[in-house]
Amino acid sequence: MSDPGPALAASKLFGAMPESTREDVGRLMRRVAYARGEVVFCQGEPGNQLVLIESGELEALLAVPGGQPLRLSSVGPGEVAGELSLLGDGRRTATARATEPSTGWALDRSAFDVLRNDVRPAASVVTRAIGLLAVKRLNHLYQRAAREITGEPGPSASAHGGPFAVPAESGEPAYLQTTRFFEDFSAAEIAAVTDGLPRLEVPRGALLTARDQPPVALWIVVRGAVETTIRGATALRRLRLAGPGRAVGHVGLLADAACVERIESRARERAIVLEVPWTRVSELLSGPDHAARRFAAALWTDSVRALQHGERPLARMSAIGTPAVPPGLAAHRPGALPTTIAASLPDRRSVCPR
Amino acid sequence: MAYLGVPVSLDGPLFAADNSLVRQSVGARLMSLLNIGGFGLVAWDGLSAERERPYLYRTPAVPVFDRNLKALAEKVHPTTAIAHVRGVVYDPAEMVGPQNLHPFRFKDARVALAQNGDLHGFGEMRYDLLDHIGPELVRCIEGTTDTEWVYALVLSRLADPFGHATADELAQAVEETLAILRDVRERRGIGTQSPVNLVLGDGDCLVATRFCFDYGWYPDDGSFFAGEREFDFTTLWYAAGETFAAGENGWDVRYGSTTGIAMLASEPLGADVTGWVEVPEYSMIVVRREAGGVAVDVRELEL
Repeated sequence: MSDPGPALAASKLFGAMPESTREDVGRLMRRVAYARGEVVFCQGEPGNQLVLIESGELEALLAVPGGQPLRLSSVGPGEVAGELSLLGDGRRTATARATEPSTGWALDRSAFDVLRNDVRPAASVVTRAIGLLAVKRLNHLYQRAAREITGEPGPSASAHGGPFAVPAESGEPAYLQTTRFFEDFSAAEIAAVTDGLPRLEVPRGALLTARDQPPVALWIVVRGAVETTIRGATALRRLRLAGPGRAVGHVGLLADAACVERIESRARERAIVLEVPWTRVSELLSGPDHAARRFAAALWTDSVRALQHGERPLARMSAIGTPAVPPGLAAHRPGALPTTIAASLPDRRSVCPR
Repeated sequence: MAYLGVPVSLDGPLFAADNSLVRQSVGARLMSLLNIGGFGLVAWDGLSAERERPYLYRTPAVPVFDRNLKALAEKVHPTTAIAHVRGVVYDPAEMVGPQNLHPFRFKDARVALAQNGDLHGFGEMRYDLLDHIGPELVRCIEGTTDTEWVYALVLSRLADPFGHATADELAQAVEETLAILRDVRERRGIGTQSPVNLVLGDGDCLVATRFCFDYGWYPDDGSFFAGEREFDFTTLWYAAGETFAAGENGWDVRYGSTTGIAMLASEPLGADVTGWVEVPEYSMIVVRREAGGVAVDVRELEL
């Protein structure tokens, strides 16, 4: 079959999109087929394509230092793998391998970029779908962390007061253009989005969102850094460290579904943030003008980056007690690898050859 | 780059690995700056006489052309090593020379230290640090770098600056040093982003930080750090396995029934990055010997 249309119509990601969008996307796709055991893409490589599975199955494998690759999940007909690579800029967080002979359709990032630059609605629709998917996965990541990090924390770093309003700094638009969120904006588009928004200075340690509270706005960091963490009795996990040009509060996009249990956002360093009320976020996400479209693209892209940041394989943190194990990893101590696992280790390259 | 474990040929991490330290000096993957301000190595051989005394090799030359270093690396097999390529911004004001090369090790000190970082405005705060450094250590400072002062600060926090310290004592000294620096910076009104990725060792342990003061407050002076956005929080990675050795696909961490080695680097050294784990921002990693191998702990720095 040389038409991806039926596969697109049957897919979870694309199926609900307008037919015209699916046609635009379908024209950019190419047929792919994988033999059993064939690696589709490797953990650690730059991501550059989405694969829509038509038949067969791909499994996602996570390489663990000193451990056997962990099977995270599988995707079958109608599902996609590697979708974050169309928007994010990180490396693959897992290896995808065919568990059986599989066929599907690939959408290369370079092809998708053509669509994005063409300003056809299809690009916005797909970007929004992938961005929302990222936010849902981010929310799921938070839920998982909330289950893993247990107990009540002790007192944390004290702050000298809470956030307070400050005026926009002179030359702010030019500076913002050097940050990730606004890097594709013109000065006029920055003004259209940011004029009238409050700028808040957040002292080091001060809270933007307290434990168990949903974010009351979306914040875009202008200067400094804001961290989103979950603290338990004996462990801490940083879910997001947002420096300049990164947003905080994505899960607020999900309204009722957002996980906020024991999660807080506070200034890790003194920070200046742009506060975007959710009503304004909604206006911008549905607005027809160039500035609104830039904002939507930037927010959905930042959502993907936030997820990729949260899913990085990180060294555990154990200073304040029980080790916090990265999501998806079995309890594992780098310094004392379980012998039974290590002894059965295949060379990682046999999974992901180069 | 830092290593602790079973004897390793230095040729691997310094020259032969796909992204070896010497290759990184002229072609780093996660940094756009050429690291051509010199090279330094301190290494301990646990099987040698006077095992606590390291050998030190430092040169302001670019290591990629250094035949002496290449010959040395092919011959020696240390059990602990800290190696550093110095990156300095392209500015005549930078002092490039033998007195500013990392790792720093004062005469007869057990601990050596190297840094990937830059304390912005250090000239303004340098002499405030004298209140926190023992006079016997101040006299040892020869160069102009912030790192040598940080080294003196760390040693000053130890019960015996020239004696043995446990990994935990070193880690505590590093935390206290960062707290002093934070305090002095605040008093001086220095609020510009300043990465402080330290690595210290004494042959039996390694302590390293991935830390930054005032992250997100970029300098506006047109310097390298003013323009760095992609990897604006200076990177640190670690890998642990049975050995670091040459294999079918080049030099990399090899896995087996024991954890015999741990390595730290600002970028993964091997071609396969999946064996390397990113050390989280604002954290400290401690590597120590223990029965049958090495142990690794990563701790949050809530400074």
